[in-house]
Amino acid sequence: MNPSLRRFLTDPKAVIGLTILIVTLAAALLAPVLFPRDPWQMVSRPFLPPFQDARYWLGTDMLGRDILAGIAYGAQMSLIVGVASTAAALILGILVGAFAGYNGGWIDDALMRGTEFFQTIPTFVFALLMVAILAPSITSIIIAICVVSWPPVARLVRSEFATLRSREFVKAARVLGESNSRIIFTQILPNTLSPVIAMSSLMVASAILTEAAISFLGLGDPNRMSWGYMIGASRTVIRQAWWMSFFPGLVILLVVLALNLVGETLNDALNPRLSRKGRQ
Amino acid sequence: MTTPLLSIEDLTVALPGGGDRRHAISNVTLRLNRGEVLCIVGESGSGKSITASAVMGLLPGDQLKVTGGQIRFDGRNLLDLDENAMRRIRGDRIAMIFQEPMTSLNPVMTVGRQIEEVLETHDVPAAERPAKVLELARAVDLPDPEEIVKRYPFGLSGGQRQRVMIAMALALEPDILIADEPTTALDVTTQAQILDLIRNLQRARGMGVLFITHDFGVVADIADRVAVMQQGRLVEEGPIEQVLVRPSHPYTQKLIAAVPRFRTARPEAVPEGPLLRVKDLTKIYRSRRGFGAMRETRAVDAVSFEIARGETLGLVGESGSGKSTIGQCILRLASIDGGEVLFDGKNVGTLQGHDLLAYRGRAQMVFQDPFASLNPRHRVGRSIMAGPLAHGVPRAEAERRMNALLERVGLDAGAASRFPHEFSGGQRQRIGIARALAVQPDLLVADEAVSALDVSVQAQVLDLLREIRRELDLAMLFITHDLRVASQICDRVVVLHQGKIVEQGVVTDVFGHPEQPYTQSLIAAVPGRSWHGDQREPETSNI
Repeated sequence: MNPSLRRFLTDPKAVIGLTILIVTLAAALLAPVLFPRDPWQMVSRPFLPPFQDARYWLGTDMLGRDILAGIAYGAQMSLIVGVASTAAALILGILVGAFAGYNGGWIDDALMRGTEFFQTIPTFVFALLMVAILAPSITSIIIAICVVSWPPVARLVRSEFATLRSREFVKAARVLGESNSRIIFTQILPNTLSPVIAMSSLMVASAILTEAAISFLGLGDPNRMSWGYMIGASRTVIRQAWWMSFFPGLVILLVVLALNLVGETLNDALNPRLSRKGRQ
Repeated sequence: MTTPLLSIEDLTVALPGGGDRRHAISNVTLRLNRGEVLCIVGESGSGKSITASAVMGLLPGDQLKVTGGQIRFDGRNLLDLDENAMRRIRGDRIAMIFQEPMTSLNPVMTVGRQIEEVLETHDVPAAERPAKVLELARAVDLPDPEEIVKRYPFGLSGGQRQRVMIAMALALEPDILIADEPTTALDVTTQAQILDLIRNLQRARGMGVLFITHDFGVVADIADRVAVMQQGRLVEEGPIEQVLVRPSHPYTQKLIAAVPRFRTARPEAVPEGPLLRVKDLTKIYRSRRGFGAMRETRAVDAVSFEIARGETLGLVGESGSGKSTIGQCILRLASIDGGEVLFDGKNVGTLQGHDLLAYRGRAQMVFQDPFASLNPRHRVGRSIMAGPLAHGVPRAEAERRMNALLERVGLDAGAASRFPHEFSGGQRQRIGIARALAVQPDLLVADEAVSALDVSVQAQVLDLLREIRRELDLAMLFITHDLRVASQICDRVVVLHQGKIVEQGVVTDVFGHPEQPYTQSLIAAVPGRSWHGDQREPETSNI
């Protein structure tokens, strides 16, 4: 097995993080099977406290909807938004960063000033504004989160490219007559991916948080159950029914913690300097 | 015999499990007497630096553990001391200088302040410090000491920075100075000056010096006694006259035989008709300092030379002489600001598109750093085939060439499916050569191609380059800072200084009877000259 992969899988932090993520993914995939009824539907009496009824053991909300079913369906929303917006941001960020870092000069200047323009706007406010303008839906949330989260990727990739392009193996590829796009995608890009992969897991975490915050403020997709919406809807009754906001909040905490654990251990496992030290 | 200043007895340092050997160094016994220079010499991986770090208590404890032996200094075993006691000995009684003077100094502190800090750490009263700093700057022959102590490390040359390091090491008048390859990163003339300085200071102060190096030339210039290490073991130890002239251990004999020497046999005459003509080549670097005016540096200034097929031309010079820039201009890795490079009659500087690609198939390069010049994420086979594939050679043919070349450079066919980190430096350099040859070039530019290699490996790679040049009738441009290596492989040499040609001609003429003062000073600074002379005339007084 690849030594970095082995280091990653033997780290207890990674195991804890991966377990939480796998459970979340299973909940998202199996939600329609486990909870065949629509999570918006009333299933029992309202304000049912948790651990009282074995069928609804996280209780129900003020309209009698099953909290556990809401959490399982909410996992779908969170994971789709987290993964899709991160993937889009990575593609955009890598393209901009690679192009700027490899070419240098005025192309680099122009692209980086553009990137900085996006960074000067407070990200959450910007995302919220975009969702409001585009009309709340899962697509507009993904687009909004992508637009605010690609600049750090671009900057990271650019700095990696700027150092790698003067390395001897890149010069060798130029002397051998390889085309620029080939050099960018086959010679340099694979060497920049380790930090990008580590960063992407943290980006998924922050995308999930952003989505939760958008839904909390009532701008989420009205047709999809979401953890942020559940907390937002129950904030007015938090004194009477703590469980309605507590369980979705706990799930957000666990998933974000898991992604951070995975990101941190990925970073350790993929960092060649640390890994070399460990082996010698 | 008096008790030695420092004695290392039976020292063994374990490597963490999983490596190819169990001990970094095993059962090393060495003595350093007052007032002598003991050189520990060996190739990379011989454990010479680990021995030095063990004395200073600087081993990374989580990975390298001392498992046996003693280091006795001043009646105590240094290995028994705790960190506090060790700190009092470091700097005060035993000082150390390192290879890389830029990274050893703090870049945001003036050099005077850094020297002062050593005094401060070891409780020298504040009132005495400034005078002491100047005295030290004078002792290491820094020019204009009052002014230079106010500068930052980046404002100093490499040699000056190493002098600052030596001043810091000497600040508390230590009994022992440990020097770990202190001149390896320096130019040859600077190296000669620093060696002189260390020798003089050692004599004046009666210190014991433990000098770590890989270069037998340096050993010949500075050592009183020599210890040769191989793979963590001490294979031979004795006075310099004995070890360098009548080495008894086969490994020492092999190492000494591999040291490149000045060639005396005149190379064969070269065929007429140049393949590459460089006419008045000029390269200007522009930089702006702060808001000041644009500064122009002529990195290469009106340089002209020619290379014919079947000929090796050497470009020699110190750092900043423009030798590497010329190589990059020829291969279009850098743009050309003036003059022209004619390859087979065509002007290389104006090639575009298809013509440029065609030129890339005829002019290739072998790089200096065998670790940086191969993509760490590509298998060796892929790296070698990349060139032919970029030139439209069918995959089957590219594979056939790759296999033939791997065999030609002395690697087995299984090498193709492995990654670069699985190979040693010498093997990687062979892979780099195979990669360059895969497109079947006519011109090969070798930029410091053997400088990063151990001396025995260096000799093998030079042999390989020489054979290949003959077999394929290549024109070769060999760029190096090492005159001994140039003398080994080149037919003609061009000596460069600050972007200008100082002298050019047949290698034995230029190195045997240099006409220009600069060439003469370069040759005079080559380490171990007296000893190289020894090989032909056994009696010399210098050693």
